[in-house]
Amino acid sequence: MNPAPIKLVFTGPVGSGKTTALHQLSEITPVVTEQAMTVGATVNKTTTTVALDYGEVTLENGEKVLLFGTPGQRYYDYMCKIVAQGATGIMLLLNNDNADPQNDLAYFTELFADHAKRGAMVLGITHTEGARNNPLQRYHAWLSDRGYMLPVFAVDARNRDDVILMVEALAASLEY
Amino acid sequence: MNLIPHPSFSSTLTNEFNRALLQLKDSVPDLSTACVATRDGFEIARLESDNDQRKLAAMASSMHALGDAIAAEASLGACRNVIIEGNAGKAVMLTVPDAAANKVLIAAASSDTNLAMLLISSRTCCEQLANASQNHFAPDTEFVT
Repeated sequence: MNPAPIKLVFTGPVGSGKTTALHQLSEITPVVTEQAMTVGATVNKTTTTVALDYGEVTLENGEKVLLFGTPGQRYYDYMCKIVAQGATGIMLLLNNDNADPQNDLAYFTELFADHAKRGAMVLGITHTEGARNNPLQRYHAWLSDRGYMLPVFAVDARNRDDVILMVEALAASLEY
Repeated sequence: MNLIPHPSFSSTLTNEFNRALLQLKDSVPDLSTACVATRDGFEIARLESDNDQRKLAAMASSMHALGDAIAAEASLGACRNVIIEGNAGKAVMLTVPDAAANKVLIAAASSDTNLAMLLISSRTCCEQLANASQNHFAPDTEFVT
């Protein structure tokens, strides 16, 4: 019998690049549940995920990875809990240009506490070219102050290599 | 708790939605819950007797989007409704068939209610909701699409 496939979950606040990252990685046409935003739409952001995204990718060693994406709005927290069941690891994307990315970090490490505490989480900081320019060191400091040992990367969710780097880092942290 | 007004829907329109929901209650006596949600998960009208249904509204939007995704995957065409049957009752979620196509009705009733009855009455309610929103088209055009 084949081993259970790896299940990775992309999560993070609205506009952090979850759907984009999953699209970059998936080798099948992803299942998406995006809907037009009736509140808070901007020129660059008009739709939002309301249930889940789904995609698949095969690793070089032939292992199949199932990719799930969660909604970003906090009122969809129940979807995050459903989607995270049985997840091998969590890919937390944080928008560096958000008003308070550390608040987002606190929220999502709490929501996925089981994964965060056992190191089954990797952080991708997106929009690092934005105006706010929070140094990555702040995320490291916040995490280490609370005893988390999680890798943090600056990533562009539109860049497949960046997303793959996150997957490899997660695989490495789960292995050791 | 009072409903939080949604910036894209006028109170005139939500009052008309409330009337449609009351008529649904009349035709389905065992109706336990009915609310109108936007497809991105905001509650915009509910039965006056109901408590806060914000979470249910969000869940209805998720379920309906999954219904759409499954319908597309299995080549079923557009998703018209999603049905949930529990041991103690049933719930239906229907697209409100107006031009904006951005609203969902969720209606739940006890297991004594006939499913076909619940569906047909909910569909009638959806048509009333669609007519109301077509007549108040101006607020809906504020949507960024």
